[in-house]
Amino acid sequence: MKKNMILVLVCLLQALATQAQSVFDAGNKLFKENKFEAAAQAYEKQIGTGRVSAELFLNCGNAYYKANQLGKAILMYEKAAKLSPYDDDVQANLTIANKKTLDKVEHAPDFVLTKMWNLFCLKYTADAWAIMSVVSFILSLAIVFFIIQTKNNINLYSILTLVLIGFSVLFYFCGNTNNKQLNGNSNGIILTSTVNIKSAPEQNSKALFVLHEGTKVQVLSEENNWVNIKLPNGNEGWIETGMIGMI
Amino acid sequence: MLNKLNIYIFIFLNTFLFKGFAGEAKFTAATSKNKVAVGETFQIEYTINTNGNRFTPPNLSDFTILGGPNQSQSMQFINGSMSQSLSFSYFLTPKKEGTYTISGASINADGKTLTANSLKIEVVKGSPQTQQQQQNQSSQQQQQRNGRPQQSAPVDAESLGDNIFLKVSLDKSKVYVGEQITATFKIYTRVNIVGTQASEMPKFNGFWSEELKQSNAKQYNESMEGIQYTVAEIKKTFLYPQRSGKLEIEPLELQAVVRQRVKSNNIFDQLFGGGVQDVPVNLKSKRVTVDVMPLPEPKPENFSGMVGKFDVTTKINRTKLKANESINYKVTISGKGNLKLSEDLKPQFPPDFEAYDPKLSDNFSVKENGVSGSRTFDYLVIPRASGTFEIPAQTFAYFDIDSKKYKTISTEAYTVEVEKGAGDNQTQVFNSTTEKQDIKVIGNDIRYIKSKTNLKSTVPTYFGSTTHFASYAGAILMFISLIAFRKQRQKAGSDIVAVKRNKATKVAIKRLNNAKQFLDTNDSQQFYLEISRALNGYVGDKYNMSLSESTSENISKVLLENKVPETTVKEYLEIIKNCEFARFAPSTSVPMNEIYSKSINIIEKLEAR
Repeated sequence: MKKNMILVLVCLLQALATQAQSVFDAGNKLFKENKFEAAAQAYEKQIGTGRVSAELFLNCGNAYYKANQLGKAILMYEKAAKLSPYDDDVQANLTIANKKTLDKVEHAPDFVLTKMWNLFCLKYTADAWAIMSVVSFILSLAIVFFIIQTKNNINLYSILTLVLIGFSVLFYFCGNTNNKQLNGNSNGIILTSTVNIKSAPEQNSKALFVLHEGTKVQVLSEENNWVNIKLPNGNEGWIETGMIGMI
Repeated sequence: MLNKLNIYIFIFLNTFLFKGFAGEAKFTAATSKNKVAVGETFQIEYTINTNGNRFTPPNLSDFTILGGPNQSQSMQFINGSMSQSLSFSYFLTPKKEGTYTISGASINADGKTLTANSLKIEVVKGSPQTQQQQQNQSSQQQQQRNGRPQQSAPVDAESLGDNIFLKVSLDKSKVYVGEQITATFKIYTRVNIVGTQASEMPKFNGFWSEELKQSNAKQYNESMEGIQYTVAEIKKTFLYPQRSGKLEIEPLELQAVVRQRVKSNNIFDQLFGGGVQDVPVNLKSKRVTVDVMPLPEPKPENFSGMVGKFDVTTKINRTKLKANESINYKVTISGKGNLKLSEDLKPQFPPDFEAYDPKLSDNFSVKENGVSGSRTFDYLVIPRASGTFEIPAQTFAYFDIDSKKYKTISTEAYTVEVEKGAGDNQTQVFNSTTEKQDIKVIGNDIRYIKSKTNLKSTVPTYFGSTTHFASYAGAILMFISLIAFRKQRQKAGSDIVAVKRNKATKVAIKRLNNAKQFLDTNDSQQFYLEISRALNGYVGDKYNMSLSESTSENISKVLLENKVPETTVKEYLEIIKNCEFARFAPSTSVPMNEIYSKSINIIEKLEAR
C-alpha cells in the first residue's frame, strides 16, 4: 500500500521535474541572449516552486551579477553554496561577488569537522535520513525480540541492537542537520545599497550603523517585518525584512 | 573752520570792478557737505562768474545761520585774460533731522535775473564727534571770554600732569558676553607734543579684540571741566567680552616727548620766544572696568556664543552625481558681531559621505561701527556609496543684540542622489580594504552558468513530520504487542505441564493403591505392572517426559539433571529393574510387600524435593 503511494508520488514528481527543467532551460536561454533581468526572473520563478538545485541558484546568481544586482547575486550564490558546499564554481563566483561589497565583514571559517559533518549530511535528503533512521530502529527492536525469543547468544545480539539504535539516532541527526542547513534562516544578505541598522524594530529608532549591499549577516530572530541581525564583531541591530534576503 | 575762513578772507582783499566779461554769466550754488549731522556746521556758497548786484538770499528757515552772508570778490588774470567772480557764503547749522532743499537765491547780472540751482541737504542724527565740535566751539567762545590763550600755555614740568594725560573711553560700560564695546584711547594735551611712542600696549584679558586701522589719527579739540584740550585718538579697538563678570582693561602706557619752553639767559633766545627743551613724559591711562553680564538662560542647544546680528546661508554645487565624485558644500555666516569666533557648524553628513575638514575663508572688514563681514566654511564631501542621501539643514543660533533675544536660523536641506559610479569594479576596488586590493585579477569574471541540473525539493516531507515520529512510536508499539502476545502463548503452554506435574503424585498414589489391591489378591503380574506404571508415570509427569522417552538411561539423566541424589536414582532404578524381572520371572527373591513399601518410599523421596 505504502509502496504504491510512493510509486505514484515518484511518477508525479518526475512529471513536475520535466516541467521544471524547461523553466530552467528557458532561464539559461535568456541568459545566453544577455537578457539577464529576464533570466533572473525565470530562475526566480523556478525557485518559487520549491524545487531547486545548486546549479539553479548559481545561474540565478550569475544573472543577478550581470544585471548589477550585487546583493541578490551574493544571496543566490550563498544559497547554491548551501546546497552544494565547497563547489568550486559557486565558491569562485561568491568570492568575486564578495570582493565588490563595501563592508569589511569577516566571517569565521567553519571548523573542519563541522564542514565534513555538514557535507556528509547533505549526501542524502532529510527524508532519506529519516527513513534510514526508522529502519535502523525497527531492526534493533526486531533483534531485541529475537533475543527474548531464543535466549541464545545474548551478548552478540545485544551489541548489534545497541549499534543499530546508535545508527538510528545518528541518521536522525543527519536528517536534522540537513534540514537546518537547507531550510534554516541563520544568515542573511543585505539587499539595499545602503541601509541604516536600527536599535529597535521601529522606523524612528536610532540608527546604530550602516551596512551596504551584499554584506552577510547572522539572523537572530524576526519580528513584525523586522529582522534582528548580528555581525561577526558582535554588533546587533534591526533591519526591515524587505532589505535583507534569507540565505 | 579757521582754514575755511582763511580761504575766503585771505584770497583777495582788493576788489576790482571790471565790466565786459567774456562768456555767459553763471550763478551757481555749492555746499561743503550734502550730508550733515544735527549741530554740525557747514557752509553754502553762491558764486557768480561775473559782476552782479541785488543778491536775494535763499530761504534758510530750516537752518540756523551762524554767519553770513559773507561777500567776497575775486579777480584773476590768466594769460592776459581776466576772470572775476563774486560769491556769497553762509555758515549754517541744521535745526533737526530730515532732508531739506535750499533754493530761492537769485542775483541780477547784466540786467537779467539769474537763479541759482537748489541744494539738497540731508540732515542726520548728530554723532559724538560733531557734538564734540560743537562743544569745542562753545568752549572756544568761553575761552575767549576768559581771555585765556588757546595754545601753548607755558607749562612747568610739575604741572605737566594736568596738561597731558591719557584716557580710555568706552561707548558702553555694561554689556553682555560677546557684545561689542568700542574702546577709544585718547591723548589729551595742552602742550606741544613732538612725538609719541607706545611703551606698553594695553592687554585685553577676557576680550577678543579687533583694532580699527586708522590711516591718520583723528585730532580735534575738546574741553574738559572748562579747559580746552587738543585730543588725538591714538587707538580705537572693538572689544568682545569672552566671559561674564567685571573685566578690566589694562592701561595704555605711552611715552610722549613734550617740547617745553625754558627760561634762558640768552638774549636772542628771549627775543625769539625763548629756548626750547624736549622732555620725555611717561603717561599711563587709568584702568577701566567693564561690567559684563552673562547671556540670558536658557541658551539654545546649538548656541556657540555668537552675539550680534547674523545670517547663515548654505550652498551646494550639485545634488546629482555618481559615487566617488565630489560635492562642494558651503556654509556662510555673515553679519556683524564677534564673527571671528564663529565655529564650524559641524554638518551631519550621511555616514557614507567622506567629509574633509572645511576650508575656512574670511571676509571681514573693521569699520568705524564695528566688525562685519562673512566667514565661509567650504566642505569637500565625497559619497562612497550609491543611494539617496540627505544633507540636513544646519541650524545656527545667536544672541540678537538689538532685541536681546536668541535667534535661530535654519538653512536649506539638500537631497543628494548618488548613482552607482561608472566602471564599478575599479571604483569599488578603490574603496575596498588593502587586503581586498591585493587580489587584482585583470579581467576577472564570474564562472559561467550550468546547463544541466537535477532539481529537488530541499524541504523534507517526511523528516520531522508526525508520520516520522509515528514510525518510531509504531515500531515500539509493535514490539510491545509482539512481546505481550508471546507471553500469552507461553503462559498457555506452561499450564499443561504444570497440571501434569501437579497431577503426578495423585496419579502415582492411585496406581499404588491399585497395586495394593493386586497385592491383596496376590495377583503378582498386575501388581508389578501397576508399580512400574506408577513410578514411570510419576517421573514422566513430573519432569515432562513421554513414555517412549522413559528409558532407564533417560530417566537417570533427567533425574540427575534435576538434582535428585544419586542414591535415590539408584534405588528408583533398582525397583524398576526388580519389577521388570518379577514380571517375566515371577519366582524372584524380592517379595511384593517390600517392593510396595520401597515404591511408596521412593515417591515420597522424589515428592519431598
